[in-house]
Amino acid sequence: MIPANPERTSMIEAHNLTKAYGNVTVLNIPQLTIGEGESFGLVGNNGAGKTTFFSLIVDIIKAASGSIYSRGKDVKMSDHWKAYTGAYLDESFLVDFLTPEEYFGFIGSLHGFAHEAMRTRVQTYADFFGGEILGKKKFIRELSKGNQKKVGIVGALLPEPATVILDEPFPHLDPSSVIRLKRILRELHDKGVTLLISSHDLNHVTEVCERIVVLEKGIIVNDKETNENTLKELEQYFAVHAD
Amino acid sequence: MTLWLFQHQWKSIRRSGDFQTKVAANIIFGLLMLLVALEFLLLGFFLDRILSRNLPPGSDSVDLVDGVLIFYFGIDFVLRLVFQKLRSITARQYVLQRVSRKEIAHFVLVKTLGTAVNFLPLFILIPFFFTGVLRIHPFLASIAWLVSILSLLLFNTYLANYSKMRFFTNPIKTLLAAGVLVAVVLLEQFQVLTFTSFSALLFGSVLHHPFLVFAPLLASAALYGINVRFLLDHLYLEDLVAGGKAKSFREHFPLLSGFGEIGTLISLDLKLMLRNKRARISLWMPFVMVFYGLLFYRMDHFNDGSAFMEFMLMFVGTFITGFFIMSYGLTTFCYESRHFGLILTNRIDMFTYLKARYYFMLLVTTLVYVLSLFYIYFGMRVFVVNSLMYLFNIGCSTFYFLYLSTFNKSKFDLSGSVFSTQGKGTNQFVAIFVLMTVVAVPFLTFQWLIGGKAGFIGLGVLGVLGFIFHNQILALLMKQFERRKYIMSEGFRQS
Repeated sequence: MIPANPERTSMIEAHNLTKAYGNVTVLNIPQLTIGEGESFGLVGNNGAGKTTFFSLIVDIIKAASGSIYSRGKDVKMSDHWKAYTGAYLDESFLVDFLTPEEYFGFIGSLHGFAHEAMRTRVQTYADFFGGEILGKKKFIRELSKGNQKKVGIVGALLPEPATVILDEPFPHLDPSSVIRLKRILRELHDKGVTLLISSHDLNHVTEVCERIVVLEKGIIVNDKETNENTLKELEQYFAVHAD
Repeated sequence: MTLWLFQHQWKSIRRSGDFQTKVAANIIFGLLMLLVALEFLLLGFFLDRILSRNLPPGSDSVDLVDGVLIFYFGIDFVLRLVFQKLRSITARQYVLQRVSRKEIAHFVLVKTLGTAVNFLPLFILIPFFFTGVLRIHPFLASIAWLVSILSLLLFNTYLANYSKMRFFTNPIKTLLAAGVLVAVVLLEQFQVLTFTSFSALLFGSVLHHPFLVFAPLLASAALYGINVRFLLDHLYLEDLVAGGKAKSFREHFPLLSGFGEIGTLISLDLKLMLRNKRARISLWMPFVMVFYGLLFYRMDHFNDGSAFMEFMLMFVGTFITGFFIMSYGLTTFCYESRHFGLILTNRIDMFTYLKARYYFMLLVTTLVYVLSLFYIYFGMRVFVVNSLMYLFNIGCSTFYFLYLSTFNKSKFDLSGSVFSTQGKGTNQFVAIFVLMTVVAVPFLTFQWLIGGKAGFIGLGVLGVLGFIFHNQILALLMKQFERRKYIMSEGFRQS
């Protein structure tokens, strides 16, 4: 693993970021920087603000105040980040009336890939799909939740983005697929891709990420590099909150 | 019957994102319905008097009504095949709860009754019962007559419901049913078979032998039972999945792929419309609406040149080519509500995205215009007006509806009923109404100030200007889209 390096250029930066629904502030991040090539894990209970934070990064919801910068530019002022960011947050990132092949083709053509090149790229994920997705003549809406998630994740990875944002990628996947996904993510990390992953599963996220941030009611309560004790510490932290 | 099932229904309406706009639209729609109901009520009260004026010897007004009832129920049935909604989908979230399947089945079936087709006829039937049937026939016989007609309404409701679940799963079969009905009417017309006397005999016999009322009553009860049994067997999640399967769709649009990103986006929308039942209507309706003009151009006084008829000519011309803009334009973003996250975050230039929408409308509207050229048969005047209105549509209506569509923030259920008003329907009605009112101002101003064809030409010129400057106007629309996109995306996220 690449050690965390404070000198690293920043990929994502949040400044004075808040998000509120009515009078309730659901996210308040005064300052957070995620470096290029970092693998960043976001954990927290339901309602901690994980999805809100990721949604703000990809500019599908509007912040109450503050900004998010991707490679130094405000994400809501320009579209530059769309060229190098792959995200899968929920089903609204799928086009459910397409077949998986058509969906990948659509994403490929948005990024200007030739059909053949796209097909070869999709084939590299054949293992991850486990023979259930390609060539089945099914619409995405006919697939199981787990298989839909696989299609969405691969859709985000196909254009070979520099930043990958995945919200809860592990639930619904079968055990083998979880292992394969973790392998894929570690390979991406080795290639220098910036990873942002949120998860309820402390085990998976500490395995994949070199930095773990704990959100609680919209506030960062913990931010540390992963080491052999991290899992235990996190488990303790959440055990206290369960009592 | 479990009351909370109905309470949930009310909550789902009350708490939907666009409740307020819906209320506004529904008030207008409701007023229209009230008007229709009033007219029916009046017709019901005077039906006996109207029919009694020229009766064939030896018959009364009730006989005449009895004679047409069989046609009424025939047409009613075919209309129900098309319009009546299958409510079983709404039961989806309850199948897994601790509610007995029987309760769900009853809930679904009772909900099916809530349609205008069941209520509106009562406005004619009840007054006619008091002014006509009771006047001619004894009390008990009249009651039997009323009850048998009411139970036939129920019978039709559940026969249509059952047929829809069981047999009429595609529009072609429904067309066949309509064909049978037309054949019946033709047979009657050419006196090959007379259904009128059969119908009169059928419904008249209830008046003479009131105990016969048990036949339709039992029949509708039996049909209700059959519906319950069918639902009990089929209320499983796999049966309730909506939408078609991939095996039956294989379209490619190689032509479109030559147009780069705009082509890609248009072909995505084409697939969306072909593969989702509710969106499909926006695709074929425009080509049906072309023939809308036939209803008007054949009228005698359509050519009298009065200000009102000129306005109607403009109105009809707008509709003939503009229907696609009116339906697709208004729902274009909420059609994409289910994959809006992808649209906003993928590498799609938002200006190109809007432009694709505009070009798609341009494409279909132009195709429809070419199809509408046959109206030249009704004279140059009609042809010229329609052409000018086509220009107005592509240069003005397009932007108007695109602008309005940014305000549509309710998630669109693409697999729902074709005629559901959720997400469009009444709103579309209001939008068209406002458009016609707004258009009337420049039209009538030109018409009165300059006279002749100035109103039409003025609108046509506006259209050409809009088309020439479409890039500039789309840039303005993009600002509006950027302002509204967060509100839309948040609205689309609520299911």
